[in-house]
Amino acid sequence: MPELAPELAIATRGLVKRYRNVDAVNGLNLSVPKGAVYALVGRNGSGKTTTIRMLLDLARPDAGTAHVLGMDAHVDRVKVLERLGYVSDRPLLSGWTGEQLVRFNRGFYARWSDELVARYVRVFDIPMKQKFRNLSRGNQTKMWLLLALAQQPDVLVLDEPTAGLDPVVTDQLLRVLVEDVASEGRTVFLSSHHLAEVERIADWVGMIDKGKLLLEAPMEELRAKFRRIQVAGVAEMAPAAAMRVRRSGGSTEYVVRDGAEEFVDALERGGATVLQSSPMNLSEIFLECLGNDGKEFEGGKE
Amino acid sequence: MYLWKSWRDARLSVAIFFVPIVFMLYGLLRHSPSVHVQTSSQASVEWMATRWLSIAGILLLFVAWSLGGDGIGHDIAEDRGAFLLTRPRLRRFFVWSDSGFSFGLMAALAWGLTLLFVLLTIVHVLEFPPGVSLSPLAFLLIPLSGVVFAGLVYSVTYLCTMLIPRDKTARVISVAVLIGYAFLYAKAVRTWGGVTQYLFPSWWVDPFPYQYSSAVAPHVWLELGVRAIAILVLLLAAQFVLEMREIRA
Repeated sequence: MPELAPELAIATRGLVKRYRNVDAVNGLNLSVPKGAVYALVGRNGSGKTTTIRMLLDLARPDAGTAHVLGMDAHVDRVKVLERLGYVSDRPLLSGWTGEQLVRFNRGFYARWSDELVARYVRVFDIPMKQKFRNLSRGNQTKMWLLLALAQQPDVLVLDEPTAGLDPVVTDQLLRVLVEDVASEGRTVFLSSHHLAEVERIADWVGMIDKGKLLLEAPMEELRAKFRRIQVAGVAEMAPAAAMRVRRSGGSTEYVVRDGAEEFVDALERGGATVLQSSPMNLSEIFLECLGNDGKEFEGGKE
Repeated sequence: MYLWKSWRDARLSVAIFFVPIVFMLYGLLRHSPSVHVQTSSQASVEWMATRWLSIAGILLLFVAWSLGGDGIGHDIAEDRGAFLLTRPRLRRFFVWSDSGFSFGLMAALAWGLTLLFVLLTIVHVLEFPPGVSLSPLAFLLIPLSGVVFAGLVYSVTYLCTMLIPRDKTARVISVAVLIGYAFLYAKAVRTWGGVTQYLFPSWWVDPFPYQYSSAVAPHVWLELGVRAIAILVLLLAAQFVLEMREIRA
């Protein structure tokens, strides 16, 4: 097994999970730095939740390894779970009130903080005397988050935390993640396909499709390197560095993943008139990597 | 904290358990002057106590079945596995916490029922000749046989809920297994006679089978031991299934 860098909060190497003939996760190599807000993005069924399940030891890999804070997710499951908070959209104990859930959960964690419970009850405005099953969807997610935050985890794992939430609750949750968790140097690992939200808070992004990692990079690097370049007319020869070429009317559009300036120089040397070289947002990068037609980007992560 | 959850899950079954007991007590106390069972039958106090527990024990079986169906397998079926199994505990913790609590509760109920029998003799609701009382051995063996019986019911049901993802199906199948085995046992006894008890043990061990004697059944400890081992094997199988099982998240 390759050496795991100590600065990684989460590391998977050659992670594979198969269900019958389907590769849900196929040789996944994730490297999540400590202190990062890392978003694993991908379409529905791309393998995000399966990856999280293996990190939590809820599912066993068919091959490869999953490490959290340098510990094997399966072998050291108790030590991992002591330092890992988890937020999901699955039910908690449905017939229990918020107060009872707090009381139940407190006994499992040495670092449990009742001060944090009081604080997040106030911040989230959760009706703690109501049974979990009677809470709104937003309040159920808040309850999960409250329980996870009160255990003061070093790594917080969230599986589609904003799915089905209204914009106000979504904003509230994202602000807490950035202002309270990430600012304290703790790692946030979240899966999502809500790219606009991810772009707001994540500083690292991993793109997954069909169980494979297409791309993994800091958000700033993605923003800096991915460029959409519009050229008047049809360039003589598209430089090989172009990730995608689209011709429409009298112009050609190139999408480049790296070396945009050299690319523009090469086009201009070839006699083309470059109209625009613009940065791309995460949604555009995502669509280009997957292909608008769903076809996978061939030049993905090595 | 997990024991608190176990108690919350079990309290309805315990309440149901006590309803008929209260009615039975009310009936016995109301008609107490006329209940002189021993005087009329001359049956041994141990034999009587065993019959008492086997009748009241039907309620104990209900509790055992209910507890067996309310363990971690039930939580997984109800989609709470992702929450519970991401608490920092080994998976076997959940099996043995469930079982420890359940056996503790079943033991408390079994000894409680036996104690109730003793109390009824003390207040002369059930009357025995002067000087006749339940021996310490009987006070140990009678509830123990009840706990072992209930434990088998619990373990079979618990394993079924672990093996079968659908909660109600698992409970129904556990009942089918319990009744089916009892039926096979009865059939085997009829076909092969007494030899069967070692090849085909019954669910229940009767520690005092002789109506007019206080003698203990032969090999009673062996019989109870074999069943205790069967309980252990069933629970270890449940632990194995849980450790292999994949949980939705």
